[in-house]
Order: sequence, then structure tokens, then C-alpha cells
Amino acid sequence: MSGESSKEKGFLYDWELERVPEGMTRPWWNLAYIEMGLFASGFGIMMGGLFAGSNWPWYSILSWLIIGNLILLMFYVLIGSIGVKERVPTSYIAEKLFGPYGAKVFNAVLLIGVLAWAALGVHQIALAITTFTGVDPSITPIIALIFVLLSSIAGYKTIAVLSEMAIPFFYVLVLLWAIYFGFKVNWNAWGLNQPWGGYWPTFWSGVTYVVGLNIMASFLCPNWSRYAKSTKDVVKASTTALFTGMIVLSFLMSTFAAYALTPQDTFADPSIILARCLGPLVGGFGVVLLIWTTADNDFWYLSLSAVQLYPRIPRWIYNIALLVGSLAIIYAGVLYRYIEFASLLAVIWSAIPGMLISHYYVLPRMGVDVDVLKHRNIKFNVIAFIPWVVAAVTAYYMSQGGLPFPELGAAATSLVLYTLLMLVYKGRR
Amino acid sequence: MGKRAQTLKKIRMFGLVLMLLGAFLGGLLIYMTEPGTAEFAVYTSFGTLVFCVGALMTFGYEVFVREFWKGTWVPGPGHEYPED
Repeated sequence: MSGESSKEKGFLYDWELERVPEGMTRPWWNLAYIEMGLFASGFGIMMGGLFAGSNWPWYSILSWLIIGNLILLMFYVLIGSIGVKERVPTSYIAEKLFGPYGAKVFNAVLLIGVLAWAALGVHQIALAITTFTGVDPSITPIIALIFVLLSSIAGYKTIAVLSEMAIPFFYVLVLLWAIYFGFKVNWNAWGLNQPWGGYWPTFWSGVTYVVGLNIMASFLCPNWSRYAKSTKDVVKASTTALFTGMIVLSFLMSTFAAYALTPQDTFADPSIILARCLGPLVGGFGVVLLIWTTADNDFWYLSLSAVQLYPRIPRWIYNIALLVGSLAIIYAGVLYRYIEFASLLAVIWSAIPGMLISHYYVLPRMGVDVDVLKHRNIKFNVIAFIPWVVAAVTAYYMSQGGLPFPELGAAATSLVLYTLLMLVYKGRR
Repeated sequence: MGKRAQTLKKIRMFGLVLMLLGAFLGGLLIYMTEPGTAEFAVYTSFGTLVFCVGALMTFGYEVFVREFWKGTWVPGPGHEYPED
């Protein structure tokens, strides 16, 4: 590794094979923009619709968002700080837990699982373009692919350029519009419990919903936090992104939904909401931008995982190959069957944050070195796969049984079990 | 401060002015209109265009720097602007 002195790597290089050097770090607000872009994805508008139609009062919904995001913040800060320390992406940090060959299994599973969601992003952009422009739906996936390619081709650099334009748009203009539509809704006559509203039987099921949707993304934080100058910058970025993006934006989006949707609507579709509020031109632009800022992150993360599998091919080539693969999935008409499979697979991801926290914060205090696998030349750490499987089963049965916080349960299970099992390496350097 | 840094600061300042203008056009003038009217569409469209160009100039000013496209410089703490 010659990270600090490598200057002539070219525009497309994303420091995928080396530690990000000091001279390539980014300011905290820029990291926050990347994180906010990841959270955008129509999530806020959809959540707003669910909240607006639910039978819960506004202060309960605000409490869910605050409690849920405080839990998420803990994960984002702890795991994001690992990125600052290591300065390499999650795909390589996985080598510390699973060993270099074990990490290939992890990255292969990640590729299989997350490609479905990445392809869904391309498909949604394509559908939005068709809806708002009338262009033939057989052509728009290619247009969507070009959009996502442009913003993900150079990794952080190009994703940042898109976010630097899109995030201020969401946080200034869209918020001003949310307040505007808040004044246009006759709240007294409007009432709650609309057909598109989410149903949460208890207070804690609402908090579980907020946590569950986003805890998985926490183990991917090092992909962007490796560009942070310090842990303090990660704390500032994550706090800003979560509390503005997830709380303020989600909460205020209720006004759009309340204005746009009628009792005849069965789903809080962001495209419908924005089109009815802002018209086809600005509404369409907003929807495309919302999904685009998330889809490019997905392909960025996937291409970083692909590099760990076979590092001789540059990341940007994987990026193109994955986009072409997603196009093939869309044209083959198997996307939604693939999404069903990926949804089943989602239960396995919440174990990873627990194992990362154990490896970097608990085990060193118990006498197990962070680089223990490297020191002992262990290429495939079977021990790490046991807590992963047990935690996934725990999450599955907790969610089947309707218990709150299955994702937290999985993270806690994997943390404890991984810590106990890894103690076999204590003091045996 | 170098000449290039001064030029970039001017670009950023101009971008900020555009953002304020866009926010005024697209975010405040609409309060005098009703949703779905022609005025509403004009204000939101122009406001979005002006605001987004301004945001790119203010926050995405690296696109105006040659070294960014060569991959040898990015804006960050301690290296906000390229050297002359």
C-alpha cells in the first residue's frame, strides 16, 4: 500500500484498493450530503404518506422518529468511525472479521442480495421518466442507466457532485414547498386513518418500523466515512443527516401526502404525490432526483464489494457491468421475483453491525487484537459465520412472532456470540 | 490566497446568490399563487433551475478545477482550494 504518496490514480479511481490519503479527505458537510442522498430515495415522502394516513397523533410519530433515529445514530457513529480508522471500504473491513477468503463469501452474498434493490432503483427512475415524459417504457431503463452511470462511475467524486446539487434542493426548496402545502390542507376536515396509511398497532411497533428500515445500511457506512478527516466529522455528518433527513424531511412530507392523496388512493406513491402537488415537470424532476441519489450509492457499494472478490479489475468496470446486469434483470422481467428473494435475504444483514461493533470496540478491551486473523494467517474465519447465522435466525423468529426490534435483537445476538467465540484468539498471537 | 482560490470563491459567492434567488422565486413567490396554476408552475420550474445551478456552483465548485478531473485534488479540510 502506497496510499499517501499515490497521486496519479486518475479520475475514476475511488481509492478502492488503498487507504484514502489525507489529501483526499472531504469536509463533514460533504459526508452528510452523501448520507442524506442515501436516505432520500422517496423514503421521506413515502413515510410522510404513511404517517399522514396512520391513526396516530403527530407527537407519537415524531417520538418514533426521534427514538428510532437515536438508536440508528449510535450504529452509524460507531461503524462510521471504523471507516475513519481503517480508511478502506466495508468490503475490505470484512476481511478483519471473516478473513480474506471468508470476506469473499460475505461480499458475494452482499452482491446477490443488494443488486435487486439497485436494479429496482434503475427501474423506478425509468418508470418515473415514462410517467412524466411519456417516453416509451422500453427505452427509459437505458436513460435511467446513463443517469446512474454518470453519478456512480467515479465513486465518491461523482456521487458527491450529484449530491451537492440535489441535497440543497431537497432541504431548501422541497421543505419550503412542504410548508406551503401544509397551509393548503384543511387539517380539521381531513382526519386520520386513510387507506394508504401505515398501520402500527403499538407505539413500539412504530419505532421498530423506523429502526428496521435503516439499520442494515449502518454496516455500509465505512464506504463513505473512509473519506472523513476525523471521527468528529463522522459524528457531525451522521447527526445532521439523520436528524434533518429522517426526522424533519419525513415528518414534513406528510403535508404533501395530505394535500395530494384521496381516500381512493391505496398507496403513498412518491411519484403520484409529487406530480399532484408540483406538476409533471418539477414533480418528475424531484422524483428522479430522489431515487437517483440512492441508486448510485447502491451501485457504488456493490462495485466496491466486487473489487474485493477480484481486485485486478478496476471498480468502475464493475460499476458498468453491474448496471448492465441490472438492465438485463429489468428487461428479462424477473426484477420483482428477484426483489421477493432479496427481501427474504434482508433478514441476514442486521447481524453484521453487531459483529463490527464487537470486533472494533469490545474484543480489543478483552485482549483480542483487531488484526488477529492477519497475525495468525487465518484466511477463512469459520467462527464469524456462526453468530451471523444464529443472529439471522433470531431476527427471523422475532419478526415472525411480532416482537419489537428484531434487527436490534439480531445485532445484540451477533455481538454477544461473536465476542464469546472470538475469545479463543485471546492472547495467542 | 492564490488567484485560482479567489476565482473559485467568486464562483461560490455567485452560486450562493443564485440559490437565494432560486429560493425566493421557487420557494417564496409561490405563496402568492394557488397550486396547479400557470404562475405556480413557472415559479417552481424557474426557481428549481436557478437554485440547482446555484447549488452546483456553491457546493460542487470542484467541477471547475482541472485537477479534480485528473483525480489529483478534491476539496476537503486543509485543501479547500487548489494551489496555483
